[in-house]
Amino acid sequence: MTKVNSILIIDDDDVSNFIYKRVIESTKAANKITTFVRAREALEYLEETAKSAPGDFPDIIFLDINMPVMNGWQFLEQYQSSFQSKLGKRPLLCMLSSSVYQEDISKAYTYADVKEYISKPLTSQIMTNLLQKHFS
Amino acid sequence: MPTNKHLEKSNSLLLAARENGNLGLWNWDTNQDLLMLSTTFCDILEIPHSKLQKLEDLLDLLSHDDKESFRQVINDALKGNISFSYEAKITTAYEQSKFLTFSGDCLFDSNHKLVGISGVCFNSTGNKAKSIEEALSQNEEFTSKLLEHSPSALLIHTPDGIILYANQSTANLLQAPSQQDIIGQSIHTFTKKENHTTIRERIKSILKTGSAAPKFEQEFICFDGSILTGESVIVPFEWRGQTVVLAVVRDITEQTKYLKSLKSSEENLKELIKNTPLSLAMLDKDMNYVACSSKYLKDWWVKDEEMDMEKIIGLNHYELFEDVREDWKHLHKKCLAGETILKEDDFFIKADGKREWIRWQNTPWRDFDGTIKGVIIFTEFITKRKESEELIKENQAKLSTILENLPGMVYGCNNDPDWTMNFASNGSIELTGYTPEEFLREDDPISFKKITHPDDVDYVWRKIGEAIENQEIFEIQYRIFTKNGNIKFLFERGQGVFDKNGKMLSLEGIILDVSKQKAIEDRLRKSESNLVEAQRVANLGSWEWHADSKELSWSDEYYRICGLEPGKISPSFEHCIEMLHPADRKKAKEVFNQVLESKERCQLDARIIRKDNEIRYVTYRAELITDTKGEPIKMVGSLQDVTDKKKAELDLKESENRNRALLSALPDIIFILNVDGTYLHCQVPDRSILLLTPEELMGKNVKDLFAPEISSQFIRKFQTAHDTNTIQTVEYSLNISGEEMYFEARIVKYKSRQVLSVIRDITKTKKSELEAKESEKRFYKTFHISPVPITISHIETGELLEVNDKFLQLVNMPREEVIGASAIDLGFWAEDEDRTSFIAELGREGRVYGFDGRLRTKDNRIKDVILSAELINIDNKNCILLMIFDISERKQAENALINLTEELTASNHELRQFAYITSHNLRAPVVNIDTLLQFLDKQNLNNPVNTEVLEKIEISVDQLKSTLNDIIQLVAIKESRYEPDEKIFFEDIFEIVTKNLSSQIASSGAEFTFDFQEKYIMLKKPLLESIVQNLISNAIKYKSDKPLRIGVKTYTKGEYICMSVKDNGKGIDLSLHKDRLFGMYQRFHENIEGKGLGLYITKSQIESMGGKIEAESEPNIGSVFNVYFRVHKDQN
Repeated sequence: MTKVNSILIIDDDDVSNFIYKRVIESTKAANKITTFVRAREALEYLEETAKSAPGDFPDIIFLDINMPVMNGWQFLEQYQSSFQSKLGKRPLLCMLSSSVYQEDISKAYTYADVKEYISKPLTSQIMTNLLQKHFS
Repeated sequence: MPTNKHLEKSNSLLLAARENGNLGLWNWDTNQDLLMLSTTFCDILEIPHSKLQKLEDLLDLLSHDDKESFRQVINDALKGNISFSYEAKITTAYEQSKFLTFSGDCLFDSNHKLVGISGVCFNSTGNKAKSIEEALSQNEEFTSKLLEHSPSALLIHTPDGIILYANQSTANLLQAPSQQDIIGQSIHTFTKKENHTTIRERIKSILKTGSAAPKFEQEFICFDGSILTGESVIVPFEWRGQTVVLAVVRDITEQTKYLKSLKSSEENLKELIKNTPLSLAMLDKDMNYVACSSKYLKDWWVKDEEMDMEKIIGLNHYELFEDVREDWKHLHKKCLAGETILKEDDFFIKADGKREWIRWQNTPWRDFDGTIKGVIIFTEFITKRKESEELIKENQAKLSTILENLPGMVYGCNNDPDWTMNFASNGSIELTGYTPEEFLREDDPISFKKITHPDDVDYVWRKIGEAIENQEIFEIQYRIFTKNGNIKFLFERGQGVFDKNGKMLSLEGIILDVSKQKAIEDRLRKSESNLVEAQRVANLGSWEWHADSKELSWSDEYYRICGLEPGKISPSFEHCIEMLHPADRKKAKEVFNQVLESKERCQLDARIIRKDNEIRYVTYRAELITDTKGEPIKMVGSLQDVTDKKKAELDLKESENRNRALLSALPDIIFILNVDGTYLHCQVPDRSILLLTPEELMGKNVKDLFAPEISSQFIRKFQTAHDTNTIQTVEYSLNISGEEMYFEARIVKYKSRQVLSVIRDITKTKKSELEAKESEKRFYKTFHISPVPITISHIETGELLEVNDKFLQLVNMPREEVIGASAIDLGFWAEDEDRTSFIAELGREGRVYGFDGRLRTKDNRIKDVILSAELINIDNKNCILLMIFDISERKQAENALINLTEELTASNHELRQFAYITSHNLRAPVVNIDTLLQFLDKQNLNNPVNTEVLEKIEISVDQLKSTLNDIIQLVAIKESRYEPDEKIFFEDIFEIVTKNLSSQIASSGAEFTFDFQEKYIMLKKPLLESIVQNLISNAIKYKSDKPLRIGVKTYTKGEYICMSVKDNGKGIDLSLHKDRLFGMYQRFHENIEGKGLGLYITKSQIESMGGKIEAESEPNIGSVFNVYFRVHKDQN
């Protein structure tokens, strides 16, 4: 089973974060799972990590769309401009939303960094496939 | 037995054969010399099996050398019991050379007896080495010839660029004296420095791939320093044992230049088209626009959609102009096939039904090699020109009608020595017997010079010459010979026509027949001489005066002339003088003395006044008779009464005067009347046109002939003309043979108590005038029944001369208020700039079509109108014909539609958002619960994990409930619009809300200020309460560290009542969140409890009552929410 070092989850819903953590843990896909309910804080965390411990920079980022104050799209804008060329590796950015609207899905893929769009729920099967596809 | 080695070898052969894909099997029975071959074998050899029965048949296919050595190989194999492989060259049935590899193994029967050879055969031509070698040696001569004589420049150079070979074409191309001058040089000598790297790269690349490099366009430097553009292709090449590069260079200098100039000429053409003041468009073969002029767009583009010279490029003509006629499309096709089509006048019917005349030309345009690339369309609107041409034609027709009907001949002639005629009226036939055509024909035309009486020619030309020199009118009388040889006396009056520089353009005039007058004159002349004769016999008196006695004696005749009885008085000199007219007396004395002194014969014309006051004109003749010494003896003389002669002279003068009057009036019939209306004289060119003969007419009075209303008019005018010596005119109509005829009488004073009345038949003129009036009537009729409002106004004063009923309806004013007033007086123009630009355009273009304007009616309503105007001439006044198309209703409908569409778009957007958010907020917890249930340890319910999972399930269920409640609330708002409005006092509402929120208000310490300029409003009470509560609780919730102040104000703003709630709280950065402020589930403060639905619900509530909400906010300063409700119709 392929394994990555670090996974970052950004979702304003505590329950969802609880579930994701449990699912990812069950697949033993990562050494480290970090969750944030506020996108802005996640950004700050990423900036900090890139500076102090680049090795710990997440391999996978799961990002929700509908969040207060800073939603998924605003996060993506900021993320792209902040980490445009500084990073050695590009983390796998997955949108993880309960939205099943085609509009959202199409919009997600207009961002170069977004490689996957996953409609909730996140299952261990999806996790396994994701790792197989991108990290084996 | 085949050894292992054999097997190995045949294996490798088999492998090779299989790889080549063409393996044939063969078997030779040594005893019976029978050859067995597989079909593939025969295919390889291209020879049927029937022709290969024995080994020898096969060997015959081989070349002579091969045949023997292959036979040897087989024999060796048979002897040595070994396997073999031999490659031989064969010639197939189709004369192709092939290399075949035969391999074989000896076969033995069970007694180890040799029975034959079996093996495979394959086509090894694929190895090619041999055939290429051969081809090379065969083709070397050909190749070298090709190289040498190729029309292309061919160069062979080493990979380093040293030229090994160059053909004559290369030398020509590079302007080298000979091929030898190039060989040994580096190719870089002839190429540009900046291209050297590319050239090296290209060589490297072809040596690597072994195939040709693509064409490369570059500049070459020739021996004489000139530059040429060439296109080179290079291929790797084996030449004399080394790898070299073959370069083929083609000179494309001319082509490049041509292409460049072509491109620029095409661009120039496009620019030219764009900037030309003409209407031009350039289209490609598919009728898509390549370019067009601004005039073209101005002329043709009538749609509302904006169009400009850039935008039109690439658009299709037929798609832009759906109404292009089929015949025009057909002509476009013809043009694209190479024809240039010019149409001087064509027309199409415009939307308003009018004919628009155009002139157009379609010309194909081509590229450099003459291929048609499209069509250039030129158009010109010529309606105005066409109309004025028609008008001129009409006027000319009118003029010539008049001219053709004049008595006499009107002419125009060129300023050349023969005065060649360029115009002659029909009168020429009556006058000269010649038709106008005979005067005007090209070939030997009749000229007046030819027909003028030879005695008069000099006089005529001198008179005309003098008149031209002084730029005066000339009047001459002369004789001509008519066509049938008669002499006619003509009167001609004419003048030169000069341009503004004084250069004479032509000579024009009128010629009349005065033979009759001349005849009268002649008769008078004749009678004069007769009179003289008669008087000489009968009417000559004589007298004698004796010098010494001073005695005078008269003959009887003398007495009679003086009106005296002979011998009644004794004559004396004093008597003589006394009898004379006082004015003649002095002269008479002088003449008398003169005769005495000079002793010469003398003559005196004088007047004698008889006792009864009758004047006699007389001529005195006197002669002095002297003695031999010269002393006077007596004076003798005669007295001749010349009164009759004198009268005839006067008659002649009168007749001449009459002629002059006649000429100045260009008469048809001339009457001389007494001022009382009695006819005295009549001159008529054609007696039949009078109802009475001239004789019958004489002595009659106009009163006897005309109806009282006409005759009284005549007599009044006769009197006026006579008294004032002015021209008077009377127009009257008579019914002649059932037809209404119109006449014009021009009356001038002729002499004392007499007038000259010139009657002219003006029926034709009158009828066309009446027709014009009729058409004018028709115009006004159309004007009045037009469903489109129309006005006619005076261009200078703007005064409205006529308007139709539709216009009156449009502006809602009675006719009497409108006519005579100007548009400015009436304030029709809603905007002054509209009027100014409209008038400007009208002045500039002569007409205006489709002007968008706004018009004000009397009751101050504004109407959207489209105006079209044209300059017209009515009653010799320049007027504006203005048509007004009222598009207010259409505009209103359009606006209503736009509003409706906007509303629908907004509500659609909202609905989608609603569906999106609710589905999201419903789906998320459901999905979570689903996953959480899987986490539950159902076997061991006491597992501590379950507690945590159940806790999360509970949260998710709460979220689900909350979202469902939100939806229910929102649906309730949408439903509440059907509840009735009631009168609500703002003060009451705020009292209720502050009571509801009293605990929060108390804990926040908020202070309120109220300013209710509007006291109440008609609304749904529960909704307003909810709105106010939401706004106030928001203000409290998002308070800052400062003490909270909330200001509430109500006031009227336009058609709205505004309720504004202002706080000094945290505020929101609108530059970031403006779009989402009133959205669903939007939150802007992380640390404050909230679902982000409050403002969304508030907005929905406000909008459900037809209101709107706006926000102003600044972080850390505060927010203002302005809620607007439309003023209710029951408000006041």
